[in-house]
Amino acid sequence: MLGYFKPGNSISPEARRQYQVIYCTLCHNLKRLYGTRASMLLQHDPIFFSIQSGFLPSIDEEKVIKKSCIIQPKKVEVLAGYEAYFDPLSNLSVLMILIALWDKEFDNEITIRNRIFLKILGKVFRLSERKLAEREISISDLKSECFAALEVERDSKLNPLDRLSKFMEFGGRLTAEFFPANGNSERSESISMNMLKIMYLVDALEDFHSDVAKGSFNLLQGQNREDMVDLVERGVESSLKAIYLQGKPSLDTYYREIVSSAMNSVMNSLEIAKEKFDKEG
Amino acid sequence: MANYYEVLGVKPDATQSEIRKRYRELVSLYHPDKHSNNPLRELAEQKMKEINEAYEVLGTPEKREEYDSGVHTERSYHYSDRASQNYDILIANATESYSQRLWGKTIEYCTQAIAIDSSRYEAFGIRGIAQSSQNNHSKAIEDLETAIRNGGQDDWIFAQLAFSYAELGNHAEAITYIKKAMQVGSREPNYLAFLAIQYEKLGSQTEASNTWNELRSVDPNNETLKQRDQVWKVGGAYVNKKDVGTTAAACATCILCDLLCNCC
Repeated sequence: MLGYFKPGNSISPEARRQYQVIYCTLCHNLKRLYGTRASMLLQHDPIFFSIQSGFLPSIDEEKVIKKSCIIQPKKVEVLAGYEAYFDPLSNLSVLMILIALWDKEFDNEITIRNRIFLKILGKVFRLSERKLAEREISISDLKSECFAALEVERDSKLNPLDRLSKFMEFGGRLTAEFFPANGNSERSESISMNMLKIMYLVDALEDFHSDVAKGSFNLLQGQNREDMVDLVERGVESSLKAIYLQGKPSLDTYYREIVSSAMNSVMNSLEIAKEKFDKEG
Repeated sequence: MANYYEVLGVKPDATQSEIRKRYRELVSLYHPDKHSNNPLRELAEQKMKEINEAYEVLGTPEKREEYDSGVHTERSYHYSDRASQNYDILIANATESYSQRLWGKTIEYCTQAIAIDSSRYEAFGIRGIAQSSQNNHSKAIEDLETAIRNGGQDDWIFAQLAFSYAELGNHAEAITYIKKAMQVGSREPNYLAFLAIQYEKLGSQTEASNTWNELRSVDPNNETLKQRDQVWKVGGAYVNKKDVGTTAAACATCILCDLLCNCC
């Protein structure tokens, strides 16, 4: 479900290099805050979010330094002195994975792979819990709120978009909590909500047939087959519009390229999901 | 007309080789190719024109002799105005730093230039756009408005001011300034795209639609326009199906993340 908002390979080498610097900085920052294992939680979506919401300023080349890659024996470029931007992104990255695991737990679908993951990342999640406590957020309250939102999501009487609304609100509020100093918490909330909506809808369409076969929950269950694609398309369209309209009007040509390419990737994913849905159905 | 010695930043008794050396230095700082992708392009082009004009005269002994004996001689020999020379050098350095995306250095050079002469506009303008790159939009607006008060009437100043106002959610001001940028400059595609988006944000659909149409007629391949069309029509022709995958180098973390993704 994660990783829809990543730029494609067609972006210019300069923009790609900028993206790589941000990506590696987030990886190193995860390690700094949560330990080496947290680098496993590196994702593309928070990077898109931070650029599109205007949270991440343009890279100051003077702040770019060389460091050893955490995973591979090579040197990478990272940003020094950008903790104010990457700390919230790191915290959000960890929480996103934790919530994805809660989603599985809600359906009692904790697989062996999930258990291994939880075991490996136990320390990371405990640290996250402590960081939330510093903000006076209780992890158990957060989990209850998440489960309440998931309850609505499973309500088959509602249409899929209404089912999602509570979970989107939950995710949006949580993101805004991490980006309050931006002065644009409403924008953060809205962009985050719409990104979540896209991730859920595309994922639901892509995995519809396999979920049905496995007897797993799928957001689109209960809909007419003909309506499903239309519903997902409309949902993705309205959310992309919202993300596009509320995004930062960046003068940074590289950031513009990255955002444009990542939004194109979402379209690609939707097309691929539609093809898979038609083929498997 | 500008004093050619001041334009090149050399003393009136400079030798031909000193003039040539200084000219090369300035060309390397202001060459438009270095600024092709940033808002300071016009400033660099204007400076480059002045530098070439000055070098054309001072770099040719006969023309230089004629120039020295002319009306400019007196002024040129009053070349004690080190401040002006220093200001220009700092602006050249700031422009160069900006093109290299060294925002901190750019701001530093501009601040030094402002300390020398706060009545000129260039330093405020460049510092404004560097502030904006660091997301300091309130400071950017302050600097850019000072630049305008000091006589800066370049389109990049108005455009940047529009972007900063938009970033702070003031779309009406953003529209006013981007229109001003188009008035003093040209109706260039990026400005049109920005204007259309601001209209959309304000809910002025007719104006937005007219502006998109104008952009479509002047630059049908504009990236922002294509993106906008795609967003408004999911499933359109813009989707490049081959363009899938991450630009970040594949690393073990991605593989591990994918493992989790497969599960959830």
